[in-house]
Order: sequence, then C-alpha cells, then structure tokens
Amino acid sequence: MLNRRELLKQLAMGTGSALLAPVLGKLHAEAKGAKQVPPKRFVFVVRANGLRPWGIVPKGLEKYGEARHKQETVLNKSLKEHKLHETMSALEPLKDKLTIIQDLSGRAAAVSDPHGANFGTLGVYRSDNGSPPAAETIDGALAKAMPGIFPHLGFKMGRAGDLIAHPALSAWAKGKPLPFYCSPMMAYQELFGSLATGKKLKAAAALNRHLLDFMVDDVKRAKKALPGAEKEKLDRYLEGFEALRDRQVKLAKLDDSVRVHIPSVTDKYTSPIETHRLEAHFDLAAAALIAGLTNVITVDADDLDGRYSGLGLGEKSIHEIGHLSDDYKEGRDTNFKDGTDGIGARNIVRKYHIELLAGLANKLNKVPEGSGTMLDNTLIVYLSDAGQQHHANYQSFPMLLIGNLNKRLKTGRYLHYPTYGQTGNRTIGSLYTTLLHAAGKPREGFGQVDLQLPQDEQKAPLSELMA
Amino acid sequence: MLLSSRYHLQLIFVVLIFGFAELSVSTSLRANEQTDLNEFSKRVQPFLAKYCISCHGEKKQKAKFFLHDIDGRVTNGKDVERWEKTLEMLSNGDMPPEKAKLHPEKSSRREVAAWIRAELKKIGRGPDEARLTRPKFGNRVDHEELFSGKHQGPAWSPSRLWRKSPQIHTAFERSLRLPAGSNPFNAKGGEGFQDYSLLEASESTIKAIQISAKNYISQWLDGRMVHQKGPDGKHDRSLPMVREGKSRYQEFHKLVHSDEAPTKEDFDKAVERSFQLLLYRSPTAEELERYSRKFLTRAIEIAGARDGLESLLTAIILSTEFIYRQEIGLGQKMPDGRRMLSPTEIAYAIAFAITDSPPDNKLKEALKDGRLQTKVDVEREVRRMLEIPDRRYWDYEIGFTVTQHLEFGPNPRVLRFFREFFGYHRALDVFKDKSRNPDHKADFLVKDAELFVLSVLEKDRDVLKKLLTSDQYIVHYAGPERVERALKSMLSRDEDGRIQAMLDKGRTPVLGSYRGGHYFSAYGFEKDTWNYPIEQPFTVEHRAGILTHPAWLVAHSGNFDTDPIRRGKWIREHLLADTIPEIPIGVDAKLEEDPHKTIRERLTKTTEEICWRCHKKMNPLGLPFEAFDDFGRYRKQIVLGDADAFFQKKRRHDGNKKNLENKLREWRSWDAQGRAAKVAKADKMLAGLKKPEAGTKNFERELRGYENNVKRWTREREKWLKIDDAEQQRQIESHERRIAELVAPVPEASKPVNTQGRLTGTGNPKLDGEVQDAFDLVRRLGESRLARQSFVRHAFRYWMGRNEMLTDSPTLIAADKAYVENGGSFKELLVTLLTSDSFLLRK
Repeated sequence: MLNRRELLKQLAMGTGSALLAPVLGKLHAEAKGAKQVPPKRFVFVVRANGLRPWGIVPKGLEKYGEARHKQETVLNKSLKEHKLHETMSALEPLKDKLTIIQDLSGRAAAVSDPHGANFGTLGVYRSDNGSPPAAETIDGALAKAMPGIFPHLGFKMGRAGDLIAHPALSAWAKGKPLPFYCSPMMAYQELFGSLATGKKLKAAAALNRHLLDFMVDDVKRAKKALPGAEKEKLDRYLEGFEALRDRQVKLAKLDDSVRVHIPSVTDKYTSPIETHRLEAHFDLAAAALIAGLTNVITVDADDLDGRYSGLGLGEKSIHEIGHLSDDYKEGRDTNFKDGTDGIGARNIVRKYHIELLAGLANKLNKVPEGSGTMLDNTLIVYLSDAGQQHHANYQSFPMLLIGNLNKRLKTGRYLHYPTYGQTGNRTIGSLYTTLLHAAGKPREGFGQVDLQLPQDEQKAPLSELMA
Repeated sequence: MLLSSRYHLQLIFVVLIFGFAELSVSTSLRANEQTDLNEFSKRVQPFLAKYCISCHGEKKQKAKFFLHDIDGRVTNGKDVERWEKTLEMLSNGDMPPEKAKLHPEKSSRREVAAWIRAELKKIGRGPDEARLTRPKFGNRVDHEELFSGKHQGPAWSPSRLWRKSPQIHTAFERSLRLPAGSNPFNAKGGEGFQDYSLLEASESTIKAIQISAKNYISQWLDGRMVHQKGPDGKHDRSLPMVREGKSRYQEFHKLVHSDEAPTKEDFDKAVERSFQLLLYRSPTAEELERYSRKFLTRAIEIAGARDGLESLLTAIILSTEFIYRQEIGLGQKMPDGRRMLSPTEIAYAIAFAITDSPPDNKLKEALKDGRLQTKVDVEREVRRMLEIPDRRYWDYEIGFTVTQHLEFGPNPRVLRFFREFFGYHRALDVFKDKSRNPDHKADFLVKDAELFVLSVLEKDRDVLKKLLTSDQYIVHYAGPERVERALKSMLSRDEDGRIQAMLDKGRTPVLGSYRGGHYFSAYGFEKDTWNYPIEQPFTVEHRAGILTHPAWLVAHSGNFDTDPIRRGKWIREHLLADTIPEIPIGVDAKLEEDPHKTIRERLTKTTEEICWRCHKKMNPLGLPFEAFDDFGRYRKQIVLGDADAFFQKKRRHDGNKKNLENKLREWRSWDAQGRAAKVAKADKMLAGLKKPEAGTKNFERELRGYENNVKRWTREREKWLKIDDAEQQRQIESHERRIAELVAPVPEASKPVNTQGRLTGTGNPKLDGEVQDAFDLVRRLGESRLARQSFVRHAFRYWMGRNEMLTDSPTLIAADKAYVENGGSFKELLVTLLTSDSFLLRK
C-alpha cells in the first residue's frame, strides 16, 4: 500500500501541504480490526449554457451528437472501442469509470425562462426564477442520507467580492436553499480554520460559540416579538446562526489525535480571475472529501453573468457566449475578435471543466480506501441546468458520470436513450432515483413526474445503469 | 378594454396570502384528487366553446393550439400544458384578441381562470401565487380597478422587517469613517427597484458582517492606523503603519487597559456606548441585563477584555435591529385593527425613505418633544427635508457618483428612484467594444442623464411630462461657476490667441472635464464646431426626454445593436402598466443574423403569429427609437454590411483630413517675418537652457532632459532657417494635393431609417395609433393619463418597498391627484405617499 503521508502530499499540490484527517482515523480503526464501510460520496458539477451533445460524443459516434438526431431505441455501447471527444482527453485514462448519457428528459422541471431550470435541475420540479425551492434537490436528499460534519458543501464561481451565495440550484428542503461558497478564502477558513490548536485559538473558538449561542437566543427573542408572517423572514437568519454553531461543535469534536495538516493558501484563493477561484474550489472540494468533512458536494461552475477571462474568453459574458452560433458565420453579432466561434468557445470551456473533473477524480483515485480507492466510492456528475443548449427546451440533459459507487453502477458506457417524444424516453428523475438506489437509500421516484410520459417508468431506476 | 380584464383573481390572492414566504408546490403527484367535472361542464366547457374554439378548434388551429378535444380532467395530467397556456391567456387578458367578435364578461373570465387554477393546483401545477409579491409582478394588479375609486381601503402595509439597503450600510461606514468592507446587504440585482422589503438576511449576511465587523471593531478598540513612532517619539512616515493601540472611546479603553478590576458600572457603560454607536439609542433595562451581565461578563472571562468587547460589538452588529429596519406598528391602534407606526418607527421610516442615514437632528428633536405622532407631524418633517433650496447638484463628481455607485446630495433616495425607474444607469453595464467607438463613455452619459433629471426636479413642474419630452439637456457641464473658472484658466494659457479669436467669432470652446474626451459626439456635437453653452440646460437637437437620451438608449441596447424589443418592453411595463410574459418554453429567442438587414427587417421573425401575440406589445413601441444607433447617436441612414469597418475607415479618413487641413492652414499663415520669429524663438529657448551641474538632485534625469531640449530647439531652428518662400509654396501645394487625393469611404450598403411605430393600450383613442417617430411617441406618452398613473404606481412600490394591493387604491388615487392638482409636482406626490395610510399604518 502507498505511503499515506506522501500520497496526501501529492494530492495537496493544489492546496499546499498535505492534509490528513479522519481518513487516518479510519485507518487506525481498520488497523485495530474494526471493519468500516466507507461512505458513498457524490459530487455534482453544474454549469450554465447547456452541455452540447456534439461535444461529449466519442469519436466514431458523431452522428449521435447532431442537433436533429432522433434516437429511437436505447443505444448502449462500450467506450472501449472509441476514443473520447478531444475535449475529454483528460478522462481517457479513467474511461472505464466513465458513463456518457444522452437524451434524458427533464420536462417536469420545465419553466418559461429558457436559461435554466433553477432548483428544478437537481430537484425535478418546476422552479421559477427567483422563487424559493419547492422541495429538496437530489444533492440535498443524498446529504441527508449520508450526513457528514458538513452535510452538504457548495462551491460557486462567483464574483470577486462575493463571499456566500444562495444560487437557485441546491435545496435542503422546501423553502431552504443551500448556501454556496463564492470565496475560496472563506471556505478555507470555515473548513480548516477551526481545526487549529493552541490556547489562544481555543479561547477564540469558545468565544465564538458563546457569541453564536447568544445570537441564536437573541434572534429567537426578536422572532417572538414579531407578528406571524414576518417570523418566517427571521427563520433563515436564525438557521444561519444555528448552522454555524452546529458545525463549530462538530468540528471541535474531531479526533484530536489525528493531526490535521491544513492546506496552505495560494494566490488562487483571492485571485480576481474567476477560473483561478474555481480551481481553488476544486482543490478545497477534494481536500474536504478526503478529510471526511463531507460526503456531498455541489459545484456551481459558472453563471450567465460571469466571464471566462482566465481562459481568454473574457471579451464576452458567459451569456453572450451562449448566444454564439455553433457554426462560423460572418456577422456583427458573432464570434470573438480573434475569430473564435461558438464551437471553439464551447470546446474551451468544456475542456476546462473536464480537466477539473478529471483532476478531482485522479486525486480521489490516489487515496486508498477499503480494498480500492476513494474514487471507487465516489460519483461525480456533470451536467447543465439548461440541458443541451443555452435556450433550453428541457427535453434533453446530457450528462457525464465518473465513478461506479463500489461497482453498483455499470460504467465505461455510452448510453443514448430514446429522444423525447419517442417511446422509451427516460427522465432525470429516473437517474436521480438510480443514484439513491446506488447509495443504498432506495426510493420510489424522485421529484415530480412528467405527466406526458408513462409514470411508473419514471419512478424506477435506470436498469441500463444499475449493475 | 385590454387593461380592464387583467389579474383579478391573483389580486385576491395577494390580499389573502400576503406575507407567506411562498405557497407550496406539492412535491409529489396527487393524481388521486379528482377534477371538479361538474363545474367544467357547467361553466368551463361552454366558455371555451363560445370564445376559444372558433380559432383553436378542429378546423382552425391558430398558433397550432387547439382546445376542441380537451376533456376537463385536468388532474390526470394529460393536458396540463394546454391548461396552463389557457390560464395564462385568460388571466393576462391576451385572449380572446381585441379583434375577436365576442368577448367574455370579466366575471366569467375570472371564474373560468379560478377553476383552471384550482384544478392545476391539485397536481402542483399552475402559477406560483407568491410571485405576485415579487417586484417584477407588480403590474399584475388590475390598473383600472386600482384607479376606479371603487376600493376604499383601508390601506396598510404588513408589519414588517425591512432589510437595510447596501447604501444605508455604506452611509453607516462613512459616518463613522470605518474601512469599507464587503457589503453584507446585496441589492436585488438586475433591473428595476433594488430595495424591496421582501429581501432577507441569511447565513451569507452573517458571514459578511462578521468579516467586516472585525475591521470596524479593530478601529474602535485599537484606534486608527498610524505610522510607528521613531526614536524622537514622533510618528515616522518611513515606518509601517500600526494601530494606535488605544480606543478613542473611553468606556472601551478603560475596560481594556485599566489595571483595576472592572466594576459592574464599567460593563454597563461599555454596553451603553456600543448601543449608541450602532443602534443610536440606549439599551433597555432588560437588554442591559442580558448584554452586560450575561454576555459581556462571560465573554471577558473566556477570552479577555479586548476580545470580549469585540464579541459584544459583533453581537450588536448581528442583532436583528442592526440588520433590519423595524416597522412593526408599535403606535396607536385603530378601531379596525390597524396600528400606527410608533414615533421612533416614524422617524426611521421617514429618514430612510428620503436619505440613507438615520434620523437627522431635527427629526430627533421632534421625536424627543413628542412632535412625531400624527400625519400632520409627518407632513411637516417630510416637507422640511424635501425643501432644500440649493443647486449643490452641480457638484456631481463623476468618480464618486457614477463609477463607484455612491450617492451624493442631501436626498439620495429621490434621485435613486428615477435612476432605477428609468434604468439609464445600466448603460454602465452594457459592454461596448472600444474599437467600434472610442468616444463612448457611459459614465459621462449617465452623469448627464442624472443632471437632466435633477434639473427637471428642481423646477418641479410637470415632472414626468418634462422627463419624457423635454429637449433641455445638460451635456458635459459642471455648473456656471466652474465653467467660468475653466474658461478663465483656458484664456490665461492662450498664448497664440486662438481661444480669444474663437470667442470673438462667437463660439465658446468645450469647457467640460478633459476626462470626458469627445463623448459628447453621442449628441452630435464635434469638438471643433460645438458652440459650448455656458448656461445649461440648453436645447439639444433631435432629442426629447430621457427615452431619447444616449444613456437610456445605451442602457437598453445590445453589445452591437439597438434593442427595440427591450425598449418596447420597458415602455410597456413602466408607462403602460402592462405585463409581458416570459419567453415561452422551447423558443430559441435569437434574431436572425444578417449584416445586410436592418433590425426592423431582422425582427420580421417575431411577426409570426405565435411570437406576435407578445411582440406586438413591444416591437412597435421600440422601433421608433431606430432613429438612434446603439451608441445613442442620431442617424438618418442605417449603415449595413460591415458597419464597424466602415465607421473605422471613416474615422481614419476624417482624422487624416483634419490633420492635413490644420497643417495647410499653418503653412498658409507664415510669411518671412513669421518664419524669422520662429527662428528667434528657438534661439531664445536655446539661450535659456541651463546644463545641470553634476551631483545635483536627479542629475541624470535632468541631464537627459537638457540634452533632449537642446536637440529639439536646434532642429527647430535649422528647420525654419531652411525654409524660404519657394519651400513654403511647395509645402502648401503638397498639402492641397494630399487633401484632394483623400477618398471618403462609402458604406457597403445603407438604408434610410424607418421610425414608424404604433402606440396601443393607453386607453385613450386620441393617443393610440400609428406614431411617426420617437418624438411623436414620447409626446403622446407625456399626455397619457395611464403613463402618469403607471409612474405613480412605480413611485408607490419604490417608497413602500412592496407591490400595490387593491386596498392601496385610495393612496394611489390621492398621490395621482396631488401630482395633477399641483401642476405635476413630484414633491407633492411624494408628500402624499409618505403621509398615506399605506406608509404609516401596519396590520
């Protein structure tokens, strides 16, 4: 077996020095003979602007990625014989753990705004712009099923000054959106800051607890003095304090015998360039998973107002990139000044995202766990909240899955379901049901059903995916 | 007609459910619930048959939509999208169309809509009713009903907490000279009013405040940043900065630094000081007990006096009172259950309605003397605050007011209303490629727009009409005094008498700040020909009101093109109290790309029936503004083909021509005497140069400068010595030839501007109809009663921080009346709003 210390040093290249955490605790436990079942972990990476079908089809299967392609039956092909799309080359070594899925529909989440299904993307229900979530989302559900110290961690590529945001993406329950860190620096402080020791720091932690206790009490008092409806307004504020307090308590209880080597902060954490901060977020996500701080992470990889200035695409906002056509056209509204067209820009962004995904997978793949590695117990899901294009019709959500959840999922496949409107079309609700099954928390369906489609099938997991 | 039939039922919902955070969308399908088929066959089916199926039936299927086979079993889900579409059409009043022969009664339309809505709700579909409290749904309350006079109130606002605005927080930081932190109160974002009472504080607010608070508290407890002291005991500027190490507040200082054990009184005093600092009041006995005995004492035990105090101050900054403006209604109770705001609440409500700061001294005095109880009291104070007879607005500093989004002037919230209502400040957010128009400077255009608004407000007559139609603009102006000073200083440097000559010819040179460059070309002015008006506002050609102002035009344009859709939508929603639905699902809303077509031609796609239903409300209102390009420049021809390349070539050509002409003029102006003077000047300059001595300060740099000057003037001298009459003649001829050889670029293609449009929905047949151009359109809007009332509704929303309800009808009518009866006085409108039941009473 690999030397843990070295390994963690390697993995923390991005985050600085090595980070050892409850992993070691588990090792100790295993050494003592106690057999521990590793938890299942999920990472959702959600992007804006759609994930184009042509950009994820392997070589030789290009016709399945064409815009007007109509799939009539399920196509289930092994990826072995095919080279991946050039923008996905980073995943080539992990090909046996990869699944490419096309034409899952999400009409139950269709909203009139074509720019994204908001909470519906992961929740499978209609979620209008600006509305609070109507129910939990799949990441929230999985977080509840497999709670960590931080049940759920969200990271978002926000603007430079933003600290935390509540993007319309993940929800714990009805009316309770989950927070996302926009600032890697702040995420770092929250995740690893309080693991420090020393008398002074301990006093600071005790004082912080004292403050949070007082605030919880104080807000409750204020709530009491208010009339009915306005009480709810303070709920979110109160929950903020309670969540902070709760985490503090849990972090403080971490086994002190396990020394935690806190990652050191790089320039990326505070860089004004969005992509740098996104990279820092991915580093933090890997560190948090390996340290056992959480089992469920959602990364909101970009939003329409942002810019990919770190990729040389800063000339247009992400929204404007979405409006570029896929084929080179001369015209005033098209293309970057250097001639980069819609295809080019989309390739650059997708390649970048996939490299981040591959980086995360590789880090997890280097950490031994049970009889395999951490990646064996992890699933990374990559999709867009607008399905297959910038102006969504919510009829197709192309997806990439990396990982097999301890062989519970069949991987190494290209899976193309029948197009919406054809018999046998399946939904994202079915996919999420599959995830719950694979996580060992089976349910009958997830989210709302598409009333235009047969209902029983929507509540069943995807048999092509289940091992 | 169109207006009268909108949104009744939603309105009832607003009243019923106001205050609920959101209504449930059921998460699981409740397919078992049965459709009320009885009602369907009794009312709904006959309704559909009578009004819908003739166009949407088996034979005719307009917009590929049909209802003849719909069976009324809404809850089995089969037809859910058709039902949703039908509901939207009915409640928007978009169907049946105006031209239809038969129109249903309002009441039966309402009943059918209610049935569909109720049935959809059983399976968790249909509109989310809570959205009606959200800003962009404000127009959904029926306009005609609101102003009908049928609804007598009583008006009230819900008891509420209103989260502070980012500006209030910035003003707080500035009043205490605190380091600016990351603002914990994010505005709503996007277009429209930013400060709505439904905004909430959450975990992100807590984190942001905790981080900023560390900086504030450091200043309060450890003093300001100063340079370290040198050996002489004085601050040495060459040493790094540190905190003073002592608090300027003796209560804090004593606790942290005193050797004696702190007493109960010391704790109490620190709490008292903290409350005054952050909440502008003393703690109550109960609070003193909690904060001092329970919290502070223990905090100091845990972590020492300094950190304990830090914790106390953080706790107060995090308290709901600091985060939220409290508008519970703690005052007198009315017989009908409504309660007046308490005098303290009133003081804060007025202060934050007009400014970003807590109550001023006069308000505090009134509060102390018990003169803040009645509407009369409120009116007195509001009038006092609005009555500011000065023209300080010329002090508008672009760096502080536009680019940093800070505010200026005594009543910042008044101007902010106009800014957010018209949205011209969003010109700053519209990216324009510099190479397309190097003159474009959005910040200067926004400044002009704000000064235009202020100049109209100053007169306070026919405010809306003037804003919509006046051609009295302010361009690149900083007030009469500064302009005079600028002219004086220009004349003092006028060595060759060029400026004086210009003045003698009756033209004033441009006197605005040089940082603006030539941005005023957006209005059609050129630096070399513009006779700059020393007195402003002044008449600007081809402009009428804010909607033809370059700032507004740019704010409502795309990166490369004008945007008639967005412009039309703005007018429809802001001046005609109407709503445009979102883009339908599955519509790929992209305009055809063809550089050889005008926008009007490219918009033809939207005249297909399925698009036109909504686009007819927008395009005809936006297209008259095609008289301006996407930088807001007036035009008569639309350049087609590669317009950017054409404009670039044209700019280069014009620049070359101007340079050559200037040089030609110079060459022509010399004679032998003049040439000799040039030589003499070079001689004089050379004689005046002094070689720096070795070892003096900056020797090397000085020496380089000296050598360069010697070279320069020697060259100049030699040049002029060589020139004789023949050479001069040769130069003149050469320049003449070069000018004649220049070829002006011609665009690939161009078409004359077509500014035709159509105004609909004003409810006034004299105003509705074809419009010739933007000026015709804004003139009619300026006459429109609906436009005025729509404006009043927006002012209501802005100052109440919420959407209007039918119960607010008396407030709106009174505000409208006050505005009209006082000759279009915005001040009177505002006084009426701020003394209304809607503003002062809670329930």
